Amino acid sequence: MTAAGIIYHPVTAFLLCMVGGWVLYTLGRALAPVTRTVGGKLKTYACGENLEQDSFPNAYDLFHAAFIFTLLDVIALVIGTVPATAMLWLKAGYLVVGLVAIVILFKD
Amino acid sequence: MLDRLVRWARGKSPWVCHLNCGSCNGCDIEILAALTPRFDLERLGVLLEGSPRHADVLLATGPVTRQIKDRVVRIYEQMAEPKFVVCVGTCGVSGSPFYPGYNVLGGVDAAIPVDIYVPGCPARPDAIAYGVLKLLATLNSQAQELVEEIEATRDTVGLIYMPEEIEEQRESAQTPGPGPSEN
Repeated sequence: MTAAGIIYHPVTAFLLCMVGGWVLYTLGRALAPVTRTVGGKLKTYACGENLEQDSFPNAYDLFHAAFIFTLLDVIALVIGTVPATAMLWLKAGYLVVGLVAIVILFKD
Repeated sequence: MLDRLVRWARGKSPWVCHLNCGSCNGCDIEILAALTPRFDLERLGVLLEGSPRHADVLLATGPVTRQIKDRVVRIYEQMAEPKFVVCVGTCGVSGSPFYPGYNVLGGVDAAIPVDIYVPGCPARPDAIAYGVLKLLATLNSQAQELVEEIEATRDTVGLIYMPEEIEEQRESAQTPGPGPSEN
């Protein structure tokens, strides 16, 4: 593999992004003033209201259908953007894993 | 070096959050006028932000009532450090004309510390802009130059007050006068 191939390799790009993110995060943390967690500092912002903890029933209509279509979209996107030179069994394997995940999630 | 960088960045992009404590909306309209193109505070990097979590400056209008006090304090606490408060309008400065009504605790400083007071009923947009500039002048040399230019070309007495000036005025208001003449 050539030097350019190594530099432009997706793994190298991913690692560079990770390092860049870590540098930004560390720099921001070093520059930021010390957080004072007094009063309602860490409470959920609700326009000044004192929002108590609460739970909400998960009762979205058609949630399951929307979730299945989301997974299918992700699978289609991944398979559609796999390089043409990639091995066929990798694409097929990803498709099978995705479909098995959907079956497991929604078998009930 | 890093401190200077942070100071420069903070002075160049102060995000403001507008909080109406109980104002009649007069000052709120003037804040909009100060932000929009006629007075255009945005040219100095001032950006109106919806959440105090993201804001550096709280623009507070209206008197602090018993009902709003806890909410004002909570919103102030939820702002990230360092935070500044610009109090806009006479109601926010002193609570008047409703203070000392049974439900009014006073101005904004009855609940949270205030850095700049902009009086007026309603406060004029140029006074609000001047108040914000005065605050920025401590962080940003461009704002400092603008403040000097404004002060050289117009009378700025009474446009805004700093906390110590407000304190002086309150003390002098409590001092009894010379009393009626004996003649």
